[in-house]
Amino acid sequence: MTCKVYRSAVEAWVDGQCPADEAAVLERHLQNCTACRNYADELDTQRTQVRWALGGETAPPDLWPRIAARLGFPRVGPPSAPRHARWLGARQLLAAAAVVAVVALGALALAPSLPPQHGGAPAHTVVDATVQDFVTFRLSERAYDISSGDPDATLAWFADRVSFELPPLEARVLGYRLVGGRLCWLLDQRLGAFTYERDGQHITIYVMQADATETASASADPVLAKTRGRSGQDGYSSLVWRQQGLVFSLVSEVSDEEMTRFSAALIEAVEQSNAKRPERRI
Amino acid sequence: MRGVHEKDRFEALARPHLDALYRTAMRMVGHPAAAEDMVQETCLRAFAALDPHSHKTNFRAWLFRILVNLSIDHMRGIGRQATVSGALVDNVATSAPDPEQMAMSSGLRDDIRAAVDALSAELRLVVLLVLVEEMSYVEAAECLDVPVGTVRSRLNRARSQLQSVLKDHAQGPKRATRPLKVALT
Repeated sequence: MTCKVYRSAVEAWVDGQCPADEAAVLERHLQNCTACRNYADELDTQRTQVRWALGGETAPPDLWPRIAARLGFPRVGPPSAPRHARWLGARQLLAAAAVVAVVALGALALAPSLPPQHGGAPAHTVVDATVQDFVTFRLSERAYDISSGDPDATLAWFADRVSFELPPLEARVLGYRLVGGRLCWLLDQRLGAFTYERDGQHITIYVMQADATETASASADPVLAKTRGRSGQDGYSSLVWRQQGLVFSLVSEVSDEEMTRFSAALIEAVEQSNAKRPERRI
Repeated sequence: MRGVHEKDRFEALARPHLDALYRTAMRMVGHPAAAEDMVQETCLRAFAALDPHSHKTNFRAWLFRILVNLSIDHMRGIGRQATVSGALVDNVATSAPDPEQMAMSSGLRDDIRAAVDALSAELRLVVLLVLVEEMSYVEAAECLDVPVGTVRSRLNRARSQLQSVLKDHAQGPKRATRPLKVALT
């Protein structure tokens, strides 16, 4: 192939959308072609700069409440509501958590004395446990239990190691690549932790089983609630939600906006997989 | 009358995309009030059309497709207002990465925005969906109701036009470049 032919492949490669076989051929070419390498660098820089210049715009805080009012949704409480954002199970908690999602993370005052609802772990416990594990693992520089970007191989490794069915994984989410999984013991249960990486930034998603009593009610709602909190570890935050009988805790050092986008992509992926395979619904 | 469960489900699906819908609308119509109206209308139409008994294979693409159609109707109707409010620019500045870390000259952000605004609507949409919102080509094609090849060709043209702007800043300090993903020998 000539460089002209490679140009199109370079664009897809920079966008993370080059099939693996084509990427391998292209990467060999890039090792020996300064022109194409420079072109890849130009596109990569441009992509980063455009996203930097335009990606930070956010909707006015009152936009969703106005939309919700027009849709006839229950009135969303004021930002002081996060004290009610304990572990969910009720739609009003979703409304409260939704408010939390648009305020600063630090505003989420999850009181340590909040009791869990339905016997499950309170949100602040999940947040603290998973963030601490995330930080500990990063500091330890230990290897993953399974270092693989292959979702099927990763899930196969976990099949006999956790007592519940894990949701399907994606090889890539918003440009983040699956890099590995770990079997963790947190909150008195075995759970899976799956890490995605992009440009040196990591997002780990902890997947655990919800309490049995919560599972019964969760089966009626694809997403019951989500809440956010900041642990004592500055710079790391967690986004927790419940879906199809599982609890997901997303932990990372990336921005709030990026966390929200990532969680939205996961929520949708799990919902889609459930729609395709209704027997998976727990 | 829609049930509470449907409302919760819609909020859980739609609300995470609110910022993305807003900034896309903002860049398409150029005015905060018009962008807010457009996002509201998008959500109203989506909720009205959402079938409670089926799951969208790609809810985000479906939502954006509604927004894209509204923005096209808007531009056809009154023509695009190119001005972007200073208030929005200030708002963006607070949530963007540290400019020093990005090692960019201070005028670059405004120049990039101006360059994107100057693109034709069809090129601008592809830039917003693929580069800003990081959609796949397939997802962007679904939003725009065009073949994937059209997305790629539009993106190629948009990149060429944007590159001329970025080159003007090439003399300034460079950003912290991501390491190239190949072993250079």
